[in-house]
Amino acid sequence: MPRAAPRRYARSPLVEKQLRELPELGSTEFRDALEVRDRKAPGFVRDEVLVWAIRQLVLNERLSDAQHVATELLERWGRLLVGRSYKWFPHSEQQREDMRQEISARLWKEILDPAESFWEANFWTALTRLCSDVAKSLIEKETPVHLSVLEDIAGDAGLGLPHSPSPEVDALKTENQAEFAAAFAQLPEKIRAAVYLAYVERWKASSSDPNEMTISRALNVSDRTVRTLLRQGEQLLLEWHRKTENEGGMR
Amino acid sequence: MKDEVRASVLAYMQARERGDEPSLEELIRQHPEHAADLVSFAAELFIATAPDDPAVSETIANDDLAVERAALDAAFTQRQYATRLTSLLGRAKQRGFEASDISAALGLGIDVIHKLDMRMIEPASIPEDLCRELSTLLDISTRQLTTYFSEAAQYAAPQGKRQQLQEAVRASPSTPSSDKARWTSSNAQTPNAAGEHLAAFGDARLTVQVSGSALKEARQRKGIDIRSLAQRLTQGGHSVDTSTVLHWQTATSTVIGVDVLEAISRILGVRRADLEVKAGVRSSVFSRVLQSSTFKSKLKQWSANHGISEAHALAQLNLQLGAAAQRSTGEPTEEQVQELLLHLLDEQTRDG
Repeated sequence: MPRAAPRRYARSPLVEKQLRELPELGSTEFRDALEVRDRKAPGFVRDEVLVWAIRQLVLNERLSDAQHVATELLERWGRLLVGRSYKWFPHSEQQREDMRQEISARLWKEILDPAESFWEANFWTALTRLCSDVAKSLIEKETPVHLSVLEDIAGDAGLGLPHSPSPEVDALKTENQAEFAAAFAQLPEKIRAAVYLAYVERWKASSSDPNEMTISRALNVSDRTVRTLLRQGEQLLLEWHRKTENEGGMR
Repeated sequence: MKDEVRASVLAYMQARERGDEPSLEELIRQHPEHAADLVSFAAELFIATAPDDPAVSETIANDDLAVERAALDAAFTQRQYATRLTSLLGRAKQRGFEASDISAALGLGIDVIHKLDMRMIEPASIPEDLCRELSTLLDISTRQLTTYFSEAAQYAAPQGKRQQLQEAVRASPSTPSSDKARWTSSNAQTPNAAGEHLAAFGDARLTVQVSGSALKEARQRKGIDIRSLAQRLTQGGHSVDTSTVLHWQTATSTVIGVDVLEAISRILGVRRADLEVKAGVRSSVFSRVLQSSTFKSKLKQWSANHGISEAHALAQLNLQLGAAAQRSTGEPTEEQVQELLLHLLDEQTRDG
């Protein structure tokens, strides 16, 4: 059965403008336009327009032309994908390879599927989401390790105290952002959300002011749970940092 | 990611692109029901936008993207397979139709439908209306259909010529008389009457089926790699890239233009026929066996038992014979063909 008619997300005005102009371009002009790689140049064709063009070409059975445009998209974004694999898995070549393969396979499947209309609305966001989804599914395979750590610290005596940011974690975040991000990426999702709000957005765990946005309100969990999540997160981040230092840095 | 969250995220990202600095807090206040998803997205964005480790930046810049390129090629190769029509009735089945449904919808006898399925009809005689109606029924393009009809017939008539559609309709016992007039009248728009369609058929007739393994073997014998072959074809005016050659090679058979095949055979120094797929068994060996009285009587009995025409029965046998011959090595001898045919007939009689 064909997929249901896709929901169309609003494209940005610039993408809409380029799509209106596209039919006026001859195929040679379009190929020339693809050569413009500088994103700020006036003739730069937006990624969302390329996705649209690929889909139209496939629909009209012009597969060779569609593949040409897809190759251009790959030239633009391929190295970013490689970079993402290093961000999520800086220490495992195998996992980087797995991530790249999985992303690539899913990327073209979604781009060739017109029902996946979000790619035409915001390519970068769609790609970011795809990378995260793939990375998280690979990290989930490591979940037993995280769970055992969580259980170990469940009885932490300090849980009753209000949470205050850890100077060690703050230092790690300030001094080595790449390493902090890599360690942060390995955290289980719920812990990662709490750590993000506490250390990046700088939100309080809880507050008596009903109008103040807090971690517990955003995540809809109790203050005690937020403190638990944050302490677990801090411990995991610092353990990961110590481990990588012993192994001689990120690479 | 849920659709509603995507829409919120999109608004957030578009605001960022405009140079506004939307706050996560504001976004969560607007969509409190998606707070957890929005925080999760913001955390992933933080990972994505963190600076690269300088130690690996060079490695990333020098990566040849082999993994990504291979996936891209694979995706398009798969697409190519998906768009190529390999069986008319197979496609009908996918759409939930039996041959009889197609027959009733088009007003064509079931025997004609089978002949179309087995490409026993001369492509140039197939009216445009018929292609259009079939394309609607089967949800495929008319170009896919014309390519399909023009590929090597699964059964070649002994005289080596395909039947005209009008002739097949006239001879068809199961086509209603009222519909016969429609498909045989001079008003039926044949490719000759429609310039565009004629062009499509013209193009289609200029295609041949190439064997992937034969191509690979010939290329390797000549010591030319895939990239060089693609380059030389492109230099010769045929726009062919490496992945296309790779696809030709990995597919059991592929339809390509005769002009491209000629260029390939020149580059590789082989005969065109050496690269073409031989559909069924159409050699003189087969023709001689067909003329034998033993075979004729068996075939007659078998087609009568199954209530189908002898031509249809022959076509079925040829398909199976072709498959059996492909499994064996080398060209079968007359005795082997005879034995195979009789064995198939006995088997089908038992099954029937």
